[in-house]
Amino acid sequence: MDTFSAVAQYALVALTAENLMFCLTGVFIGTLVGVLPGLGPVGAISLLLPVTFQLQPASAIILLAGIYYGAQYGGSTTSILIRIPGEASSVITCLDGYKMALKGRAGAALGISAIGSFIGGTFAVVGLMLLAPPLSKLAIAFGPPEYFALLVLGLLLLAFLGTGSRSKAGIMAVVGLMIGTVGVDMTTGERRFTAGSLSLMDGISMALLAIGIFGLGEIISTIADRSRGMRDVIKTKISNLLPNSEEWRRSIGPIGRGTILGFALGILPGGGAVISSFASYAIEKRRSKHPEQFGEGAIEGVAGPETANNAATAGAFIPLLSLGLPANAVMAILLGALQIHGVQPGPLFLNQHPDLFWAIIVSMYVGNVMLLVLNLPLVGIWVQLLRVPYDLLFPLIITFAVIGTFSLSGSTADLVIMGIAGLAGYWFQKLSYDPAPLIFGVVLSPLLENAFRQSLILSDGSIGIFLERPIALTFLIVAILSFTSVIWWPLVERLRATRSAAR
Amino acid sequence: MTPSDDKDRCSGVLVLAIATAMIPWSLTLPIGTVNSPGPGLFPLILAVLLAVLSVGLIVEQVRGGFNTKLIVEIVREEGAQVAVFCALYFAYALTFERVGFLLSTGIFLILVYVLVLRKGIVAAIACAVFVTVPIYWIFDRLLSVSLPAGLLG
Repeated sequence: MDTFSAVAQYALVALTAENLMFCLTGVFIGTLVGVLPGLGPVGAISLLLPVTFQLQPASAIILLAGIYYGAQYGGSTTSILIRIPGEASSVITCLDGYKMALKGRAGAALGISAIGSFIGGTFAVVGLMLLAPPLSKLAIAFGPPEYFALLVLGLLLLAFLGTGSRSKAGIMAVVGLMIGTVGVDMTTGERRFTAGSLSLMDGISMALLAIGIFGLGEIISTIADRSRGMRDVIKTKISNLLPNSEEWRRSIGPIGRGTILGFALGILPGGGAVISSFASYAIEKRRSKHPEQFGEGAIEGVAGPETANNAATAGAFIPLLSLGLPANAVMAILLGALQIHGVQPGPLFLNQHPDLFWAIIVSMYVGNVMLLVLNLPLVGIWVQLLRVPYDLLFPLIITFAVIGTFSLSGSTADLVIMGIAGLAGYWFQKLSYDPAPLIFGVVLSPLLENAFRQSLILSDGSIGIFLERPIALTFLIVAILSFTSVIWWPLVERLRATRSAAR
Repeated sequence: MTPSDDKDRCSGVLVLAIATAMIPWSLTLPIGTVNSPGPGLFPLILAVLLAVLSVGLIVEQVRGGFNTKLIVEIVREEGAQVAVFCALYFAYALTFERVGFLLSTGIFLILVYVLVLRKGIVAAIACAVFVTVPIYWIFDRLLSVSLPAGLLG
C-alpha cells in the first residue's frame, strides 16, 4: 500500500469526532502552556500522561502530540509581547519580535509567527509522511546488535547535541539508565535496587519522574525565585495581524529556508527545535542585505526561527516512529506513553499499527489548521491570559501533579517519590543539569539492556558481534566520534587556523 | 573561574560518591557470564561509567580548587522557602490518603499561601477553596478518577 492510499484509509481514525476533540484539546492546552508561565510542554505532557491511560492509544498520542506542537505556537506570543520566551525554542524570537511590538507591529509579528509556524509545521508533516515509512523498512533488518548500537548512538547524540555541559548530560543519561534498572529483572526475576520496598518492584515510573522533575521542580524553582513569576505585558493594542506586502516579501525566503532547516535538524536527537531556531536566525542574518536591522525589529528574525522550530517538532517524530528512538524529552515521554499502552514504536510500528501511525500524522495536519485559527483570531484572549498572576496558577499545577501521580497506582509512596523527584528537579536547575537525558535514560534503559544481553547470548559471549555487523559498527563509530569530538574537534580547528595563518 | 565551575566540582563529587556506592551494590547481584549475562552486569557497567564521567567532570575544573560558596549562597537565599515548601509537601503527601483529597489539599494550599507566599489568611482560604472544590468535582465526579475521601468519607 502506497503512502497516499494509507493516508486515505486511516485518516478516518484521526477524523472521528472524539479524536478531533482530543486534537483540539491538545493544541489548546499546548498554546495555553506556551503562553502561561511556570510550565512548559514537557511538564504539561507529564501531568496529563496519567489521564491518557484511560484513552485509546491513538487518542492519547493525538492529545499529547497536540500539546507539544501547540506549545511552540504559544511560546512565541510571550516572546513577542513581553520578551520572555514561553519555550526555549522561542528565545531567539525575543530579539526582533519584541522590538517589532515596541514599534507598533506586534500584530504583524504575531501574524507572521503563526503563519510561518503553520507552513513549517504542515510541510514538515509531509516530510514525516514520506520519510518515516522507508526508514522503518530499512530498520526492519536490525537485530539486537544493531539496535544496541543505535540506542548507544542515540543516547550519546541526545546527551551531546543538547545544550549545556557534555559531562553533565552524560551523567544524567547514565543516572537515567541506572534508575531504569530498578525493579524486577524481566529475564531472571531478580529484584534490583528495591531495598525491600514492594512499591519499587515494578520499577520507578517514567511518568512519576517526569511529573516530579518538570512539574513540581518548576513550581519549587518559581516559589524560591519569586521574580520569575513577574511579567510586564506590553500595553499597545494588537491589530493588523496580517503583515503588509513589504513584510510578506521579506518573510517568504526565511519561511521556506526555516521549513527545510527545521525539519532536517528536528530529526537529529538533542534539542532540534531550539538548535533549528538559532540556526535559522544565524542564516537569515548572514544572508540579509541589512544585517544591522537584526535585533532592531527585522521580520526575518521572527519568520525564520518560528517556522524552523515548528518544522523541527514534526521532524522529531521520524526517529521515534520509525526507529523507536526519541529525539527529545517530549518524544521520550510519548515513547513511554505508547509503551504503557502496549505499543512499541520502532521498525515494526508501521506494519503492526498502521492505523495509529497514520492517525498521528493526519492529526498533525488537522492540529496545525486548528492552531492557526486559535492563534490568529483569538490572540487577544491569549494576551489577557498573560496577565494571570502565577499565584493563581501554581495551586492548579500542583493539584494536577498530585492527582496525576496518585492515579498512577493509588499509592502514597508514589507521592513521596514525586516529591523527591521535584526537589531533584529544582537542584538540577540550580546546578545547570539538563534533566532531559535522564528521562531518555529511564525510557531507553530496558531496551538497551535487552539488546545488550540478547547480543551477547547470540554471539556466545563475544563482544566482537558489535564490530562484525556493518550497520552496528557504523553506528558505534559515529557514536565514538561524537563522544570524542570534544578532544579532536579543537585539534582540527587549531590545525585549520595554523594552515590559514601559514597561507 | 566561573560561578558554574564551583557548582560543577561539588556536584561532580556527589555523583562520584553515588557511583562509588552503586558499584558494590551492583556486585551484590549475580553478574553471570559473558555468554549468559546476569542481572548485575548492566548496572555494574553503568556504575563504573558514572564514576568515570563524574571524575571527568571534576577533572575538567580541577585547576580552580574546591569552593562551595555558590551552593551555600543558593541555600542561604532560597533554602528557607524551599525547606518550608518541601516540609509542607511531604506532610501533605503522607496524609493525603488518610485525611482525604479535599481536606489535605485545602490545608496544604492555605499553608503554602500563608507561610511560603506570605498571603493573607482570607485570600489563602479563598484561593484554596476556589481550586480544590472544582478540581475534586471534575476529577472525582465527572471523570471518575477515584480520589480518597479520608475523614470526610
